[in-house]
Amino acid sequence: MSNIRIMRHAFLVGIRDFQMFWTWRTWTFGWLARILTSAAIWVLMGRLTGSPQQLDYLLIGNAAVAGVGTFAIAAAVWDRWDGVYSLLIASPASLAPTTIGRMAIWIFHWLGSSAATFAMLILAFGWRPPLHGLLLAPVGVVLLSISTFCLSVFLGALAGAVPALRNILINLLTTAIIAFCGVSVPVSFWPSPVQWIAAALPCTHGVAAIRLMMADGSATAILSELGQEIAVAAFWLVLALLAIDRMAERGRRDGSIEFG
Amino acid sequence: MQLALTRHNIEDLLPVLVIPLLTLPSMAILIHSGRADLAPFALSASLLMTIGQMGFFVAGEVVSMDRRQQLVEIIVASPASYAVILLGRVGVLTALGLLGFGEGWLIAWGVFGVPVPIIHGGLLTATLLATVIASTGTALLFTALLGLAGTTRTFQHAVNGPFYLLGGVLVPVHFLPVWLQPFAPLTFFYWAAGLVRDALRPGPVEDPMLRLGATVGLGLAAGLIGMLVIGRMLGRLRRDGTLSLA
Repeated sequence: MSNIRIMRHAFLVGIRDFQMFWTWRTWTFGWLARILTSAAIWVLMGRLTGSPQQLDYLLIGNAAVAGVGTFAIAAAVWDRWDGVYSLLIASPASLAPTTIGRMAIWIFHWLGSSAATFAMLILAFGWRPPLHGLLLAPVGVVLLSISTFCLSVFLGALAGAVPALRNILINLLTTAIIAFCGVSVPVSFWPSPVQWIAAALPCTHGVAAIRLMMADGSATAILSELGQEIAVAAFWLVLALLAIDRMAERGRRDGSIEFG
Repeated sequence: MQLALTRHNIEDLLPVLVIPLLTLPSMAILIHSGRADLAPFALSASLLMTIGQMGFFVAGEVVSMDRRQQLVEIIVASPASYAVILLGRVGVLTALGLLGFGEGWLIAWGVFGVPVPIIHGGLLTATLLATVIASTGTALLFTALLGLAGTTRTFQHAVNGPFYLLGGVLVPVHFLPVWLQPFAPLTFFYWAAGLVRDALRPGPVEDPMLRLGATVGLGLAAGLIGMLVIGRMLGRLRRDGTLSLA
């Protein structure tokens, strides 16, 4: 029970983080401008290859994962920046609810980015995905955002140990998603070891499910992909929960935690 | 000095480390759709986006760090020109962005087995040099606007995307909507990207001197404006006492 209360308060802190970082105006004009240009780059890239299928493939994939993965890992480190980390360590509760709560706001940022990208591609670039696919797609986007979040919590725990790595981890994560997880090219394009890794990464199954939805795939196939995405999420969540307190333990032992 | 500072802050090298990774998806897309011949596009993007990112993002940070550490106030009081100091520091940072080209080439060759032949070596060298000059100048202007104005973060995130798009670093400009195309030559990216691609393609290159000149010229113009802006801003800060040694 108290964990939920801690998480709720940490989430409120997260909302303040968001408000510090973005106002409504800067989010709309700054962040959306960035999202719009990356959407436009994929549209142009698709046209450059000269293949309509490739264009469609790119649009579905990149709209689904637009913005996903950004900022959350950095948020895991902010408690350290603010100097409250040592107090949290000293408190009897686990670190997990505070970290997860403070990071969670960024899930909404991802969902908003994805929705905005879909909207822009349809309104500004004349993209016409099938309507029923479009109506179902949010289920996939929510799931893949949650599983990416679980992986981010895990990476955030690692970043908690070495804060300087946080932005590099974010960039590696987003690049890996765009390159390997069936967003830009099918997973089968890569050699099989990469395919195995991709199967354990978030987004791979979620994006596959969205593609099936768009292409009138069978309900069982869609549900199976969604189920695998949930399994991936659970896998990373368990690892994350194990890692968070492990990291705190390590910090306690080697005295690398200080006020400031 | 900037080299020493950068060595101590791995964050600054972030663009050099991660932007070339974008070569992975773009090369994968090109090869997957059977267009390995378009690899030079992925490389020009890797080069220019790394340099651009070093220029805009990291150089923008230079002034806001200086302000936070109250170095600006001390430099302003000293006889040296702040703009000249910045020019040196920003120049080092953008030059590091050159690594992006090498990394992109290595990814194309190592990961995808596509060794992109360098046909016009001399032109490529000249282009890389011109790009560093141009982006240093442009970055100086951005540094002036961002750092002294204050709200660094938002602009850093928003500003460069449209420039890459407009400059055609990945996708050539004639794929853009017609009404946008006339603006492209106003960015040095447009000229530099074209030159990089031509240097990697067999056949004669049209007007290399003119295009190199345009790249450098745009950069110098931006740099001059940047210097003026920095001078004006410092003058204003001096006058209304917003500078502080708190």
